Amino acid sequence: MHYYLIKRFGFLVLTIIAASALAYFMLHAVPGETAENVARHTIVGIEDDVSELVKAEISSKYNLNDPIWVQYTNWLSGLIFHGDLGSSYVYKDTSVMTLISLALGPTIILAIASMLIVIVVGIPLGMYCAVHENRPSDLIVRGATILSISFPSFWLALMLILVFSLTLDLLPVAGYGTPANIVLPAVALALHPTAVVIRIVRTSMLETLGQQYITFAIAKGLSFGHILWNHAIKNALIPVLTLLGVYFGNLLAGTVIIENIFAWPGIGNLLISSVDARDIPVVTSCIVVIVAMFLIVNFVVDLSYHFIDPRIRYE
Amino acid sequence: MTLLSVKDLNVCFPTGEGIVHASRDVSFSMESGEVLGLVGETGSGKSVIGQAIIRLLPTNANITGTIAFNGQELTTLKDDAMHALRGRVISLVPQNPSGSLDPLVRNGMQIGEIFIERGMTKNTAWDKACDLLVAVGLIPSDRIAKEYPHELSGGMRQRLTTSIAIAEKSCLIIADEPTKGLDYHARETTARVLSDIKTRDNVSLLLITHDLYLAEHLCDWIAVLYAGEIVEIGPAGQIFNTPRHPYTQALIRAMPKNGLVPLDGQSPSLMAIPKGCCFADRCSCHSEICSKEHPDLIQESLNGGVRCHHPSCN
Repeated sequence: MHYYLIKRFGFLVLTIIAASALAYFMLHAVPGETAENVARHTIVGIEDDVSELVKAEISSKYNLNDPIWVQYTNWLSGLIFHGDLGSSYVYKDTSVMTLISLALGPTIILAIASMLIVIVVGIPLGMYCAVHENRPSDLIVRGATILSISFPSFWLALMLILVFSLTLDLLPVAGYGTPANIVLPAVALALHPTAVVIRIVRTSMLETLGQQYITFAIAKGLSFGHILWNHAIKNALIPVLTLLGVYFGNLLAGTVIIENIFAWPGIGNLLISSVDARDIPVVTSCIVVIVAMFLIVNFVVDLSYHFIDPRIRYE
Repeated sequence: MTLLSVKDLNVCFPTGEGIVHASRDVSFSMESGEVLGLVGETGSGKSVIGQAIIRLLPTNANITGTIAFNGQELTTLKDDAMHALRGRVISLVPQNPSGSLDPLVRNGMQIGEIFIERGMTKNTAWDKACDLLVAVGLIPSDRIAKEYPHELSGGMRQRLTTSIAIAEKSCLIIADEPTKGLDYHARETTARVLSDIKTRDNVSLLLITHDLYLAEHLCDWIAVLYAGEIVEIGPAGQIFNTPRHPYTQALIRAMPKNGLVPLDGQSPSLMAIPKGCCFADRCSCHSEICSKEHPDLIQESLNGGVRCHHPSCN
């Protein structure tokens, strides 16, 4: 177990370094000059050409004239030896750590809210459909899942705003701060994964209910409720757990479009505006944080199997 | 007294390619305390009969005939009443013990949950479960109870499912292929456990098996099945010493101790049952009548019967 943990941690560190390097070098490969983009996003009134003087000033301030690998190594050694992600080119030299910690809170809140909807709605409805296989209620729910899988989430988000904000005037259109603000983005984000989870839970549950240990449980004279709670649900949820982990990781990675639509100040929004401005330390750091969260969530899921399924033991 | 009386039991499964006649006109009865063996090769419809009795056949199964248990008709019994019989009065030792144990539940709880459902506390149920593990020779029981099914060997899993079947004092235990896939040693142990169950009062055992060795050791009565129908039925001694149906004779010749003489050919498809005798194609003494007329099961005496135009021909 200790060996396994160490191995996984080492893998996590290597993945983060690889991802940050990839992000760093790819940003430099994009056409256009970093100093020029930074200038356009920091100095008010620059419309046409950015003067060479301004560019040189910015370049020398942030060591942009150094070879890329030197810049990257400087940034990486700052992260490894000082836990420092550097400072932003754009936001008046604010430390990247501050920017990310400001954006991470809203993203985590939104991810948790969406995930709660996915779990609370998706799992029970999937179970319900499995138990009522091919009855009208099952067909209706399955039809609804097909619809919500088929429509893109940004379109659904706009429809939600149209209905619940503009027509019914129940919820705010966009923004951040009050509990009412979170409802629409959370629902918009949850619709697609909920529909998938319903379908997967249903399939997994039907497969489990066909297992011999369920038949034998009936032969033992156990009640249907007992069989459902003590045997079927536990076994059926094992494959669903992986899926939930992937979805949660995706939500934590920030959801660029939905955050944009609802003006949600999350990491997706920060990332997209920083890419626009060539704010390289911020972009690279966002990617590092996103990759780390994704890996940690999946690691926790893998670890949870150890406690749920006695057949799985990590050595 | 008669505990179980099966009469003209027919089970068929409609499939895309046709109707599978898994069991045809099966009739037999069991006295309490008796052991009846249903023997036959794979696909002869043995397990279907057991599942029909405890009503665990898939929902697409088409069942006709009567199954009277203690004078109660099981085929038309309400689901609630049938549920009350399962595990308490009629128990099952399932085929494939590995698949029949929930992989996420501790061995002790696989038994104990039965007692918890009956209102016992978790501790009492656990203790009773450990006692049952001891009864089937799973020792040390407290350690095995805490383990999971995947930590047991095939033979141990078989004994675990057997202990579940004897958790309550059932009148009838249906043991479905209890020695399937077990090595010689595990088979011996299972045979011993089943024979212990047999010696307990008023427990009748319906032993479904293709293991003739096991059947010979345990059974009072034997019914030989071929292509879904009983071809010979009688007291175990008579079946093994003076078999009359050519198929029974061939089965006994195929036992290792009798020289392991294989039987040529294959049993007919259960979707296309021949008009005459089902065994005619493989029979060494078949005549014209065999392929034309389906033989009836002739009850010659109280000692059973045989479904053959030329009984005792070999």
